[in-house]
Amino acid sequence: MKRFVEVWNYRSMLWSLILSELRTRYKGSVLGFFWTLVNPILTLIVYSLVYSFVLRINMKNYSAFLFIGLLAWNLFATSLQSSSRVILGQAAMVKKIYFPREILPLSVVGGAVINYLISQVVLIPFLLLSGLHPNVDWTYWPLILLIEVVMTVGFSLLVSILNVYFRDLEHMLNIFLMLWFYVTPIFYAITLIPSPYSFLFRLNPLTTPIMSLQDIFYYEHGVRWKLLLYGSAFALCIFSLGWRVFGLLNRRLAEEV
Amino acid sequence: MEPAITVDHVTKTYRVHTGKNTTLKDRVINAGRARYQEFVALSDVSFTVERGTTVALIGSNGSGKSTALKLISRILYPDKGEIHLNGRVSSLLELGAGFHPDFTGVENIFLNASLLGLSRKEIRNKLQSIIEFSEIGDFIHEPIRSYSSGMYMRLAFSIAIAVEPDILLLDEVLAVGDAAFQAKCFSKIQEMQKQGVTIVLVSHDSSMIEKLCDHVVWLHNSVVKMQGPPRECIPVYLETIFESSQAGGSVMKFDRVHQGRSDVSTSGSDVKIGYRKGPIKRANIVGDRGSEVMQGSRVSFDIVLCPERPIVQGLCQLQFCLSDGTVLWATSSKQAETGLIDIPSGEQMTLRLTIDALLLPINSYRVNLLLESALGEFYDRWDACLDFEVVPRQEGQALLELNHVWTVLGGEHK
Repeated sequence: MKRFVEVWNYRSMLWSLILSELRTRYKGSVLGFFWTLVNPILTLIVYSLVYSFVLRINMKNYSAFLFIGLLAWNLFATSLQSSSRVILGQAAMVKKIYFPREILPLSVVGGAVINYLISQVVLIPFLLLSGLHPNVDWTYWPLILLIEVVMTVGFSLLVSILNVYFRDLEHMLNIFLMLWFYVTPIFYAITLIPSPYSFLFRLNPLTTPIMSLQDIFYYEHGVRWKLLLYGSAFALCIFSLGWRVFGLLNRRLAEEV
Repeated sequence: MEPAITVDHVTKTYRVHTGKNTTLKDRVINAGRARYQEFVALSDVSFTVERGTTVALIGSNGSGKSTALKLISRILYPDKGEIHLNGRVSSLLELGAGFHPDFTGVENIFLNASLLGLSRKEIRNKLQSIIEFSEIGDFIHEPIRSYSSGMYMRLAFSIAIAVEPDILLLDEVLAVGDAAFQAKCFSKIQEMQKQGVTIVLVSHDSSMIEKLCDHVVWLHNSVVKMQGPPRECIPVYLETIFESSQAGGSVMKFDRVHQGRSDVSTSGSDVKIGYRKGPIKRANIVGDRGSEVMQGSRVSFDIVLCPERPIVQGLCQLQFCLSDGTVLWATSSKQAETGLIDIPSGEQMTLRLTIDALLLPINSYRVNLLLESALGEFYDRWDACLDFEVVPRQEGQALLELNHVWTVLGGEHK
């Protein structure tokens, strides 16, 4: 509890780090911050072209379906990848200034969330153009996002601190994330999975937010409460695990980086 | 009242990794073997820092002072024992940690001050005073990668003091920067002392410690060897260091005074020998009365320079001070016919300053030396490198005797 208060007291630092991370990412490029917006637009165009002309998936509005899941996946995957490097990357600061170190992975997730929110500016018009309608289920969106963010923070806390003591993690993580991507119903609908295995796919924590987003944006039917409940429980568990492990390993951090 | 800082039986051990076994391959190959050796940096160290006092941590390199400071600032955690802090802590362990080179000065103020725990609103309120104190001027809107190291340091110090901490931790950061800014930092620290800020600093500058600190904690080989007022601790400390250097320690050894070419013999008694890493190795008064100088007499000072890295367009400044640090007079070797001096690394050069008639009141004085380049680069500073005393020409005279003549210029004279 004390750590929570401490992190809260340092919220202005968290905000500064998020801002500086967002600003440096495209520093020196001509479009600058607009890349945050241009990136999802270009991705969308590429996928739309590929799946309308090359692969021709037999699914209505396939690029919309794909895009919904992909953006949510990117929030998770980029957070984990950057988190694994963030403590070593800020080694100078870790060694020289005191601050609650949880701030570092939190700032990574914060940046990814802001990017995700900006990409919604592209997603929503695209959904409307594809003929999907705003409906009352969209109000579940903040809840789903919250579940995903809590989950992402938990995993990020874990990988960020573990990578300091075990530096292979960073490289193993990339392979692992690739595998994870394919077992998450992002570019296929979960209905494609034969029913005995479908259960296993639902155990994958990432299935919860991604399927729920597809439920409200694409299928336009309500959320599956059992799934959301499972996802929330998992998110809380991984968060408290991450928080505790971080607090434990944090003590020797300044010497190990 | 509770003390500001309590260090209670603290032990800190570092793990020195014997080879980098942090990858999978090494872990598998070396599984089961001890992958590190332990190195005790602090062993059962206890001391307290009362509120509003200034405490210096002294000791030779590797004695654990910086570890102690890092423990107090909560960057490191103790293995055993506890540390209690009362109040907001601001630490300046290394300048510019957390600066981003691509950001402008203003952006870095926001970034860095928030790292030290200030809210954005507080920073906005203090922005102007930070910029003013740093003396960076219009460069504040330039990316700080274009800053000189001096500007970098001025900005960092300005931010650190803007935090208005209850406890300020400083690790030898005042050793950089030009003399003028050092003086400004110094008076700022004194101002903070008056406001009741508790300060803990690590320094090698014994004269600064004597001026600033109320208490000294001397760490030696991971334990507290001595603590007390600076007047008691510093002389013992300097003596020990000098002895260890004579016993073949790592501290530099100095030759005795080199015979001057002048007809006056040089006395060795007034040579202050200390731990000098900087290019100013030695300063002494040339004269037959040691550190006593007769008022109005001719006096010379020899300054021996031997730099580790070359000195380019250097100039030496010498100041006379009162014992409280007030500067009475200063001179620069730039005015000399030799002009600016260049010394290749490892070469020795002796500068001599001669004053024809030393017309100072009877008192004792201190000499400060400063070596910098005409381009503003700082080389060395040695405060209170020398003490001397001005003695009367005849017994019973006033503090000052000036050559003078009384003349009557007309008027009624019967």
